[in-house]
Amino acid sequence: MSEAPAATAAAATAAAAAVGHMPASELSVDLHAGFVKRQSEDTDTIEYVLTEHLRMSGVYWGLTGMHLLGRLDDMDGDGIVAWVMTCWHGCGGFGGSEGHDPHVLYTLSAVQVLALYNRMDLLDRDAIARYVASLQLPDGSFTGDEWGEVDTRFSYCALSCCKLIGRMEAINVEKAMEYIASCKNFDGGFGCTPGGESHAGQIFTCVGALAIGGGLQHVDADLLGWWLCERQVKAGGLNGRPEKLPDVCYSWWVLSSLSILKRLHWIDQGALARFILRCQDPQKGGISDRPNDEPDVYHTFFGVAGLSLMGFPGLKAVDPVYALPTEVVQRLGLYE
Amino acid sequence: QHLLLCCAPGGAKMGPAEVRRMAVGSGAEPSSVAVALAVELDAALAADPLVDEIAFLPSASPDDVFGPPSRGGHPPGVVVTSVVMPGAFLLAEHKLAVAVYALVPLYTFAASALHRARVAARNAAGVFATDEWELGMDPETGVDVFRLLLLVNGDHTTAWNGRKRRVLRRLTAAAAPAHDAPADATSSCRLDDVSHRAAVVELRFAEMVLSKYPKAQSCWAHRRWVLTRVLGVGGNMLRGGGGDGGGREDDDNAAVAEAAALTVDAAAVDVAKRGGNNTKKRSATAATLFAEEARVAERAAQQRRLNYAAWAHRRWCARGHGSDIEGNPPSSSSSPSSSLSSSPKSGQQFQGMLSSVELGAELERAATRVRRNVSDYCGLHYRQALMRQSPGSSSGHGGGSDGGCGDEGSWDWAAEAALTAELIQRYPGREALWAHRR
Repeated sequence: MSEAPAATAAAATAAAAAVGHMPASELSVDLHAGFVKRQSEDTDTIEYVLTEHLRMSGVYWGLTGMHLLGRLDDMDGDGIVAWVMTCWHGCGGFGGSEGHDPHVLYTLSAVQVLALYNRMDLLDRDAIARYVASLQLPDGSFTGDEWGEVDTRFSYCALSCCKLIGRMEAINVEKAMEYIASCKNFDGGFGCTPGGESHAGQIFTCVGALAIGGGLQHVDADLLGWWLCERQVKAGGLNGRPEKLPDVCYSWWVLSSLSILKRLHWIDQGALARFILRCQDPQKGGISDRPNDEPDVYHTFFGVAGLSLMGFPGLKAVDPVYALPTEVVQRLGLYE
Repeated sequence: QHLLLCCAPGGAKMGPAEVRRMAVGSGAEPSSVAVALAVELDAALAADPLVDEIAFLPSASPDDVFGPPSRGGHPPGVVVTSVVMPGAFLLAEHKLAVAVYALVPLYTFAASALHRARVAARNAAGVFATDEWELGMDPETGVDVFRLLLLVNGDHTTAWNGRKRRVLRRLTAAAAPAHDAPADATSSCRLDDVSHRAAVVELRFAEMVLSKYPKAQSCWAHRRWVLTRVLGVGGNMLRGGGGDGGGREDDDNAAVAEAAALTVDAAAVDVAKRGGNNTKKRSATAATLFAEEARVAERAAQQRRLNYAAWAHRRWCARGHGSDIEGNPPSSSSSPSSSLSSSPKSGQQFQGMLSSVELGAELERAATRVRRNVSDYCGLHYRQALMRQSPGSSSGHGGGSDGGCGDEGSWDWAAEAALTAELIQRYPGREALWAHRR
């Protein structure tokens, strides 16, 4: 199903224009900013308690979302940065919260948060590089921590982290690419390990990792693009796997993958944008996984990021590979 | 939880040293009721090691859970409830119910206990040794902090790590010979005993957590760690030496007799540990382990349709003898002996839980499940994974009418295509079936 280049460009422009001309007021920026801020302050709730182990990622989701909404200044940057550093372990990794064991997931999130605030000077880059490198196995894969669990998500975290701190030479990038390539399935997708079922989230981490490591040639863009655009359901939302319900977070995982593969126009962007907008909570603010469910910071971020990727008006641009604001990626010179 | 109490004035950029000084961990302090509740719950769990299911309910008072006593819904046996916070939890017939309003107090207590133990361990002159932190027992109340944390949050990675450290400490202690004991035999037996007991406890606890958190990835990872690190699946037997079984027939017989007195799974594990190079024993044990994991994975898949973590775990467990670490059959051309042999080859040989014979049976079960769950692509993908593992040699037993190894030694693709065609015609419009057909 490849298209001629001219038709591709025209289709891309038309699709982007559709979302770009939606009224900005349809996204309740003030409500969502208020929601994210309150979530960071309400520490007595079950939701807050149950997510302590991944607080670092929660902070990254919330702050990046706020940045895209143009409301990062609503948050207490200094306080947050100081808190991030309390999660630092001497071995070079960050934990999900203070006193939690280091893990590559939260090491990336911590680096991302500091990148948002332009406080990379606080990082011991060599120690982080050593920690991430210590997680790589001979076959190129990465464990999440010292306990040995392997998952392609950890490959993405390792590569993105090293790229952000400018220490790609610390890891074996070529082997990392080989391992991810070995996770490619017959349908063009990727799973958590070789032979793992294709899953949109895992696909994003693999495609993103390949993009960072210069291994995109391993992707069959047409085949994978097809699988990805099949994720769009009648209601306009995207699911993550066959016969699953649509979920706003897949607006990011699928969209960013399609964007990296230059096939964003293979889905009906207008329908997706309308789906995301229907997932807003008009009272509390925030965005939920699907209409009329409870909102949370995670889905608020990915909904806003998905809209940004499609050119929704009033939002700052987001980078599909690093899931960070474009201006942060430019400041770090990641594409130079 | 550990929020900062102050902010830098004026918006001047703080240097690294200032940032570190600013960060004071505060953390909420649990109320005395919360502490007492945690102690009660901990005692209830310690008294019943067979708890296999947990649920969070609006209220865990017996009348709210079972209805009024006059209706006769109350269970006949002992029902353990909270005294300090009535309705906060209920333990009956090995099922635990916790009231939603009790979760934050319980977690607050556990988190503060964890923090306390860690701070104490860091203080060189502190009263509490590093031991307390390693074992996860609160020095002040004796509560098992890791257990409590995981009860409330089954994906608490650090608590799972704590349990791993605890297991390793116990195994290390068991492996160390008593100073007046003869060389290896006793310590090896003790290690085996401790290993299988530890494995049973961890796997049982993990299953309890999965009943509430069927998708918790760090829980599934913990199961895999127990299987590989403690039970030796994959060939990394946790022993002082290389784990060779030579000259231990007498030990084997005694162990089997002793093992008969234990629960089925523990006995199987015990036999596994002592099996050495005994193929028959190992395959019986491996099959038991696999059946357990498949049962747990199926239960989790029933609770959450298309449960990715559960199916990934099942696929991991289904990697079989003679396959490499990812379940691919030996790349060298198949000889009749290769797929059934358990003798190690050069390079990394994975001694998994599924023999070639068992693989055929599992394929049959997968086919049956597919017929009953036609929109479940996870089940179909699992079947694909099993098919890929089937050895190309004639010794492979693909099983039944729903696809299998033909005499010519190749997978019966025609039969599989026929199966998908039949199901597609019977259940039109099922994307999963079409994807499988691709």
